[in-house]
Parts: sequence; structure tokens; C-alpha cells
Amino acid sequence: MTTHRDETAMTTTSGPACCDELAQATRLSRRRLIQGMAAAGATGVATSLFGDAFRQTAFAGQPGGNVLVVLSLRGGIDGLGVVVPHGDPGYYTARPRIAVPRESLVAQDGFFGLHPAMQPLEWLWSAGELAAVHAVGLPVPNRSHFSAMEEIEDADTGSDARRGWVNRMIGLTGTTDPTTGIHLSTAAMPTLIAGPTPTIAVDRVSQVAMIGADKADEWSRRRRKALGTMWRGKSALGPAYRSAAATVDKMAPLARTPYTPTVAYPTGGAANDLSEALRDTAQLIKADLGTEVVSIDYGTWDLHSDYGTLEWGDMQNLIAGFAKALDAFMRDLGPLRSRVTVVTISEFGRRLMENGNGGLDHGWGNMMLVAGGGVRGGAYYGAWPGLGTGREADADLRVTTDYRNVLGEVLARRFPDRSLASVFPGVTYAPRGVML
Amino acid sequence: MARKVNPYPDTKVPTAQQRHFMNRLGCGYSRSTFKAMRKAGSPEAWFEKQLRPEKVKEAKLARKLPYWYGEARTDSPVTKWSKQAQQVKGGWEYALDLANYSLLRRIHSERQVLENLVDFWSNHLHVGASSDLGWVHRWSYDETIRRHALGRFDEMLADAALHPSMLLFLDNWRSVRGAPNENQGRELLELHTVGRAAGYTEQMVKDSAKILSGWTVDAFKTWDRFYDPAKHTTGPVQVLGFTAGNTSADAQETTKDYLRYLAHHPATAHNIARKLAVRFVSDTPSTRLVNDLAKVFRKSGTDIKATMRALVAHPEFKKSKGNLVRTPLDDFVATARALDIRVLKPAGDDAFARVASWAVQSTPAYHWPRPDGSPWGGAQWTSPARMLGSFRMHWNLGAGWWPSKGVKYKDGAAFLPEKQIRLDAWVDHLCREILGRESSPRIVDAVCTTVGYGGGEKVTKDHQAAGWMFVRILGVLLDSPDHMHR
Repeated sequence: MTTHRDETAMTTTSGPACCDELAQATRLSRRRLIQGMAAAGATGVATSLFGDAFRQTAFAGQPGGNVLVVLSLRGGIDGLGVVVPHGDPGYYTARPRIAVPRESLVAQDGFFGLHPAMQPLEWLWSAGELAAVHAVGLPVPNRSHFSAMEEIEDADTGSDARRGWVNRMIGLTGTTDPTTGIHLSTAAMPTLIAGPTPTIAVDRVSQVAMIGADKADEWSRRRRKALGTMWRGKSALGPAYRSAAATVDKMAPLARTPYTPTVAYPTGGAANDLSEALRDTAQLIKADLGTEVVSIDYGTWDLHSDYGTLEWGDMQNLIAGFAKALDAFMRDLGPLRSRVTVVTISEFGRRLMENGNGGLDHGWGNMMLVAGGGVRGGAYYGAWPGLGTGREADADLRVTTDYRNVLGEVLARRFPDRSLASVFPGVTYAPRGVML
Repeated sequence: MARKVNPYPDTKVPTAQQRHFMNRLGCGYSRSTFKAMRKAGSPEAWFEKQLRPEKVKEAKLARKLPYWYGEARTDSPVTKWSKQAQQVKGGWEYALDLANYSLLRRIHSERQVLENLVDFWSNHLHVGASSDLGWVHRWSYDETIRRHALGRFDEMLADAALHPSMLLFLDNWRSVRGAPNENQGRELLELHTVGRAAGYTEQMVKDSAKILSGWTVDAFKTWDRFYDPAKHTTGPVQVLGFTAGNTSADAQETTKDYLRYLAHHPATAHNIARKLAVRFVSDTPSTRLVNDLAKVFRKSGTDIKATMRALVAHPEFKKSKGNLVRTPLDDFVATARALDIRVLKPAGDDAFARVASWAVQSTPAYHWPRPDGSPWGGAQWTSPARMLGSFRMHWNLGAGWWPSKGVKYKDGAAFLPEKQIRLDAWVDHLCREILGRESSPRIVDAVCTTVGYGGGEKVTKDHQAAGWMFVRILGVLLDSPDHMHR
């Protein structure tokens, strides 16, 4: 592996900053950018970044089926700080200022434990509905946010086609219904869901609406009729119009209906954005439109500095936001949880040793959390590679489980009709037993 | 019921050929460009004039635009960096300034072909406007692209590849002796010149990075670009047919030779010819067209004007009218031009000139998140979400809802050519004014359906069709294949 720090260029709009010097400034910028967009009320609907192909016949997703929720923890979450290997002394040696003390950990076993801010999810762990896999990631280190995200989300190194694994997965049934795969929380469509099978990316479900035709009234009816007249016949955008009309027909009633969850979701603070996205996800799942995958971005985990301790800092704040929002979502789903599996993913883990700013630079191995239906929860999975002495400056957590095998296991169990070889070409399937 | 067209011939309308030239080679049809084209005598004569932008009298408003973005244009990189650090003005705000400035130029400039090609080359040699470090030099990078957009590609490549904004964006500034960063070395081959089909090897990528090593930036200090021999990796290099001993720690001349070699490589000509053909002619250009353009590009010594002339003269260009998809950005610019929107000097943070990019409902100009630049092909822009976003944009601009400050919109009454007019005649007038074409039975039918009146309805400025319903009429015209293709 390379030891020099090769941090490929990326933009503040697509993800957090790369360099120590920049971490704070650009993290702020991204927040402000997003707020700026929200204030402008202009984040409505994203454009697909990639080619959408349409067929004449639309096949919808099947109601009552299983749902996968993919939470992308962007910026590279520190897996060692979420699923803490308290049994490995290297961890404490490497992080004199920011290590999470063993006695504070929840859901402890003899070797691992969860960050105390994960406490809201402890009930899921105890109920066997939450599991963690450690030392997962890309087979070869890639410390560039940009290209690591591309690699993880495209997940098909043998092909030039810009197509994400979720897009391949939902496309296997021949669906042309854009509500089969939905990205919430940002207007930009991430690679994992983008590709020739139509998908949709919106901030909020309430924004799936056709302007001027978004009410059940005469004017909306007239407009739709007029648009039908205008778009009759063949044109390059004709199929896109018809697909948009179909999406709106399917989702607009939902978008117009105020949703009353069965529990209160946390608002404000670090939980807010994830809370909103998960609330919409619960609404979608309950509406049972046949959605198979919901993708959500959460957090800016690129903590080169301001990582903090249990008392202060971005790490505990973000984890708490994550745990509270996910807790509300899982409770809100109630018995429907048996149909819904949540999985987290991040482009890379962080360096073992803390840096001069009490933060962590880009590393390699990470953890993944799997929760909900079909999970063999209450346990830690994976092969622990050991952390060395904890004094090696460039040491990373080594990857012993290809992330595609975690996703692959979830798919194999929850969507058994999908060919893993098609979703993750070239991967030798080796499940870790995370799923029932 | 089939509706009849009621022509309104007093409003002049461009020929299909004139409209084709405005929509493809310019930034979209507008009344003022239509006027300029008529004055030039023919679309071809207009185009020829456009190739010498310095001879085209610039619109008064367009001349003022640089002054509306004074900070972005004149702050030094040191000042920009310190303003970001002090949270006075973030990099993303500077980046938006450039995006907004670019949109306004496309809307208001009389140098339409230049603006179109600046967009083309900026995406070909993409440097993310808000990229981590590159943003501090991004305005000057834009000026570099502008300077060469109608010049010679070999000169543009030499200036762009070694521009500090590019060196920062693609990490070349980080290169150290013995371990050159491969990012720019690779993208220079893959994206900017010969393309993957040229068949270079991984070793050639490494050699490409070796050649570029030494070109760096005094980051976080003066931000000046300089050549640092201590960072240059020496040793023999071979990239395709280019070889050099590369023995000296100062390889500045070798770099320039290398860039010239790549600019003139047949694979580069083919790559660029194909991109131009996709942008200006067809999503699936014929091999013949691409070969013809590549030949002109090479024979002319990478002359962009000569290549564009060949493209416009090509029979396939003339035959290709009307079925290319407008990107959301193109759509925004074309909509503002069609509606004759007049942007005013910005007075506050919510002025049109400050927030235009948010109104696009898509990625702002030059904010494409990857090094490959925003794509042109129609298939890239045909998602349902794009349609809903563009419709919303049309209505926001059509009704003047948002942005509402620092801009002058025309309302329904302002689009009335007479005090009183039959609805069907008005529709014809609106089609001529806004779409640059006569109305069709289909569009008359769709407008009548929308407003619930027959074609004979008499419309005055006090009629609701010219009032609250007007945006619904515009919705028929703009949310349509007639407007969303080019």
C-alpha cells in the first residue's frame, strides 16, 4: 500500500474537505452552502447525473416487499470510535486524547463496545436487531474521498459505465418505476443510485410535485391535459416527461399528505437532517409504493480536527444525532421493521493514530452497522486484524472483509432473486453470517 | 377539437435556419440576437462575425457585469484565502460568483458563440469552481479559457494545464521528487487530450506525472505558481510517441514539448472532434463527421475557429435541427433570454445576480463534482427529476416569483402587442416572441385547454389570461419539447 497521502481533489459541494488545514473552513462552507440552498428554496429536485433509459412499459416495484435503507456516512467516519475495540491496547496507545474509555461503552462484549452516544440504539442491540461488522472496506486503500466514494458506490471496477450498485440491483427486475430507488436528503444524486434504471433524488418527499399541477383541482387537470398534448409524439425528452408524470402520479398524493409518525422524531441539532430523511422514509415505507431502496446521506465525518471527547466535539455530537434519529425511525416503523434493513457505509475509515490537532486523518478499514429485518443482531462480526502497537504514524485498520460482502449478504438474504454476480461483479461471495 | 392557428405576422419570426444557429451556436434564441442576425444578412454571416468576438459590439449591460463581481475578480488569492479563514467570504461564495457571472454573460452578451465555447472548453478542461484549493485561482482560470476559447487548442492546453488553479485542483502541486502525484498526469491523458482509447499504459501515466512534477504552487502563503526543481522527478520518460531523457531537475521545456505533443496527437483531435460534434450536432455523431472535424483540427494546427467553421459548414450540422436536449443550465439561460429578462445591478444578497445559480434547479455552472466536466449528451439529462426541476425554474422565471429582486421581468400585459387581441392571435405572437417560431394547432389547443377559453376570446391587459393565468400560458410554451430541445 502507498504511504504518502494522496488526497485527490474534490469539491466542497460533493463532500467534506480533504486537508487538515481545510477541514474546519470547508466543513463550515458545506454547511453554509446547504443552508444557502435551503434558504433559497431551490434544492427541490436534482437532475440525474447519469443516463436514464426508459422502456415503453413501466414495471413497478412490488408492494409488501423488503426495503433496504442505505445510510452513507460521508467524509469517512471513524469506525474505531463508533465500534470501539477496547480489547486492543493499540487503540488506547494511539489515541491518548480522544480514545473512548472502556467503562463508558455500551453493548460491550469482551473486545468491542459501542460509543456511549449510541445508547438510544441499545434496545435494538439487545433485541438482536442491530449488528456491527468491523475491519470492512475497499480491498485496496484509497484515501481520496472523491475516488473512494466513486469506487465504493460504483462497485464494478471492471466497467467504465457510470452505474451504481443500487441502480444495478433494482434494475435486475426490469423496473422502470423511478420510485423503486429513491435518494433523500440531498438534491444531488449520488453514484450508488445513478444509472440507466430511472431513480429519483429529492431533499424531501414533499418536493416531488409538478409545479402548476400539484393540487387535485381543475387547473391541475387542465395543465396535465395540455402537457399531454404538447409532449405527444416522439422527442428526445418525451420519455422523461412521461416518466416524470408517472412519478408525480405515484408520489404526489403522498407528498401532499401530512405524515403523522407514531413517535416524535428529534428535531434540530445534529439529528435534524437525518431525522427528516428517515421520517420521509417511514412515510414511504408505510405508503408501500414498492420502493426497494432508500438512500440517505448523513453527516460530514471528515474530522481532521474537532473530533473531541465524550464531553465535547463533533464526533459525539454526530453519533448522538445519528443514534437518536435512527432510534425514532425504528420505533416509528414498529412491526414493519421486519421488512426493513438499514445498513451504513462510508468511503474509508480513519487513521489509527490521532494527529496533532486531536483529529484523525484519512485511513482505510472501517465498520458497518446493520439493523432491522433479517439481522442476526446483538453481535460483532468480522475478522479482527489487530492494531499493532498503536505507535505507527501511518497505521490503518486493515481491511479483512470486503464491504461488498456485507452488502452482498444483506442482498442475498433480503432480495434473494437478485444475482449477486450482477450487482457486485468479480466478488467471491463470503458471507460473515450477519444475516439470518 | 382541432384548433386553428391565427397568424400574427406583425411579429417577425426567425427562419428555422436562423433559430438553429441561435440555439446551437449561441446560448439560445432571443429577440436581440435575432435582430443581430438579420443585420448580419444571414446566419452564416452572423456566425462568421461571431468568430471575432472583439469585433462584435458588446451589449451595454454585458460590459458592466465584471464590475458586479468585483471581489471575485480582483481579490488576490491571498485575500480570498484569508477572507475564507476569517469567515468573511467563503470559497463557495467566490465559486458562486463565477457561476452567476457566467450565467449572466450567456444571457446578456452579444458574443454568443464565444460564451458557448467558453462553457464548452471550461467543461473539457474542468476545474471545479469550489474545489478545495483550486477556487482561489478559479477566476483567473476562467480568463485563461476565455482568452483561448476561439484561439488554438495547443496554446489553451499549455496555459490551462500549468495554471495554478489546475495544479491545485488535480494535486500536481503536491508532487514530490521520487513519488509524483499521478492525479493530473492521468487526467491530462484521459480527459484533456488523447483519451483512454489511445492505449497508454499505467507506466505512461506515471511518466506523465513525472514530466509534470516540479510545477507547484506556494499554497497557503503567496499562492503563486512556481517551478520547484527539488520536486521534479528525473529519469527517462515515454508517453505514447513522446520520449525524453528528462535528466535535468528543470524540465519546464520538456513539459511544454510534452503538452504540445499531446495537443497535436491524432487521438486528441479525434477526442475533441467527437466532443464538439456531440455538443453541436448530435448525441450520436457519424464517424464521417468526427473524422472530418478531426482532420481540420489537426491540419489547422489545432485552430478552433477553423474547426468550428468546418462543423457549421458540414451537411450534418444543417440536417440536425431541433432534437438535442437542453441541459438544465442551457435551459435556464435560454429561458431568461426567451422571456427577455433584464438583470439589474445587484443591491443585496438576494438579488438575481447573486442567486441565479440556485434558480437553475441543477448543478451550478462549473460545480460539476468530478474532474470530467459536465456532460453534454442528451441521455445525461433526461431524468424525471430534471423535468420537474426545469418546469419549476420556468415558472419561477415566467411569473417572476424567484429570484424576485434585482431583475426586471415582463408580465402578461407587457407581452400584449395590442390593447385587445384574440387569444389565438396572441398565442401566435407569444410563440414568435418567446420561442422564435409560429404557433401550431397543438400549442393553440394546449393553451385553450389550460386557460379554458376559446381561440376567439378577446384578451386585454385586464383579462385574467394576461394576469394570474399568464404563467400557466407560459408553462405551455416553456415546459414543452419546443423549448426544452435545441
